[in-house]
Amino acid sequence: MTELAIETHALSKRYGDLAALDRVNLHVERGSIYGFLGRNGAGKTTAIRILGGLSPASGGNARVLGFEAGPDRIEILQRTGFVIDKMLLPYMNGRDLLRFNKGFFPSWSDALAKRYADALEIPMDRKFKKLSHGSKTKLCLLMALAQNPELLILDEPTSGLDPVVTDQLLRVLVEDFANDGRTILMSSHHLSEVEKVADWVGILDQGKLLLEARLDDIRATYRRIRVAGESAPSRSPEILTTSSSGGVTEYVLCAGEERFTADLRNNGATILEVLPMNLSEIFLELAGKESHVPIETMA
Amino acid sequence: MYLSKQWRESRIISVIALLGLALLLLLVIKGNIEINSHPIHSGDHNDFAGVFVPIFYVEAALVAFWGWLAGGIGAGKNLGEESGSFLFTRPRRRAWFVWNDWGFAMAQIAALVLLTNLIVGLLLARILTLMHSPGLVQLSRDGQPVPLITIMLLVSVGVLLFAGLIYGLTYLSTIIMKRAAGVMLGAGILVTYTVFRGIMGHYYPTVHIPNLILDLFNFGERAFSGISDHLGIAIAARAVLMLLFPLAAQVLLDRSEI
Repeated sequence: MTELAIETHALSKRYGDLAALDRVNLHVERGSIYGFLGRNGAGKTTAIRILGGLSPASGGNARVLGFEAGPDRIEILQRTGFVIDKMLLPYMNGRDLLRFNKGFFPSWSDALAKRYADALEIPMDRKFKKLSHGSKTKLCLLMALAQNPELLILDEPTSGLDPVVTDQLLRVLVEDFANDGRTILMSSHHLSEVEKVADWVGILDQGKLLLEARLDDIRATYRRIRVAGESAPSRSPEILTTSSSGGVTEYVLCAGEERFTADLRNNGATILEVLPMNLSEIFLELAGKESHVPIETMA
Repeated sequence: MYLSKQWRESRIISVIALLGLALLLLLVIKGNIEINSHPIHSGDHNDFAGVFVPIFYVEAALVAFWGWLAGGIGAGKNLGEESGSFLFTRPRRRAWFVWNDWGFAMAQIAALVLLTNLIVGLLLARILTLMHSPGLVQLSRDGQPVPLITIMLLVSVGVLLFAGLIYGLTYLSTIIMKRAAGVMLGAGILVTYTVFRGIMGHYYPTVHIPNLILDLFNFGERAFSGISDHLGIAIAARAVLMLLFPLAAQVLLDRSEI
């Protein structure tokens, strides 16, 4: 059995001239919580739709739990809980929806459904269309969780939710689901939430995967280095970005801080500061200028 | 599971259709029986086709209207409500959804048609008994009597095929449009075809454009003269045409981005 729950190779999707996904290589380890980050329109939902068999890829391939997305979509859907549009059948109430969904999944658990309905305080007797946005999202998640899947793929699960509901959802995902060794891929542009729960992140921008790394590695090795002096080192694969202003050069490194600073000193440069970086800072470095990023992503 | 969804979506129009159909058909029968009441007294019962033709057309129109409405319910409607990503991430092939929708709708159409024709058949059987012609219908003065059950079965098949055709057309239209408003596209196609057929019939009478609805009875010399010729071929052709629409919907849905 493969150790990767999700693996894509050069996954591409084109809409006319627009490359919604451009040769994306994702590697989601089994048992991990993978934060799939990107700005609105970065291509996250497109990738998720391809994984769920809702949309065909234009190029490359994707494997989910060892099955090929597209041709093996039934096998994937039997084992994976998808929450994409957060829209169920609007005229059914929660109980009707559970009955409806149950028939599709042999691994369905009524006990889990009841447990999550209670824990998430979902009004199960109310029609879906009359639920609040938060309750709709919670019910979608409940439906996916009660399938008892090996893998959860969630598209912006906390989008538009208040902090209390967000906290409820994240606790259920981490404490109940992921702690059983199951895998979650969660797309988001709410970096603080992802930073709280994820152990891997992938950053997508304009259809390209700019970064895929373990969050602990990012915290341990990613550095912002400010340097005064003209003797900048030659280009190195560790340098993510470089910018210069007023005689000060700023490097963002993904690894090799000590060797890099030693090289700089040897070249006569003065190291002004070496700063650790959090996920938000890295995201902003990679995915665009601060002015382009919604305020909440900078939390 | 899926049956509960289908029933929830169609139950209102089904109940209304059933009530409306029963009421209108009873009125049609009552009216025709009154108009044609003389055969009972005079024994001249050669124009019974005059009873079946309005029954057939009224029933076909009403059940087809139901089919038109029901065509707006199903996978196409779900796509419009943005619940498509939920529905199509259930572990079933897209064809499964199409043929389940189609099968359920056809079962409802069949139930409507059979129930209606059972009532109509029983009423007519009683009248035929009073006319000392139990179970046999004289469609024309010179023709051989035809068993009532044969005519009722033909009426049922004709209505089923027409309503099934309309259902399939509107169902496909909702898949094309990806919303329930696709029923309007279905109606537009239907009206266009009917107008086109009318125009062709008027200006080019030698060119035969087939009627969407079965021509059950021969009409000659200003009177019905019996059951149409080559009815088997006409039924088979319409059955094939009826099946083409869900098949096209399946192919289209399989290739669609959800």
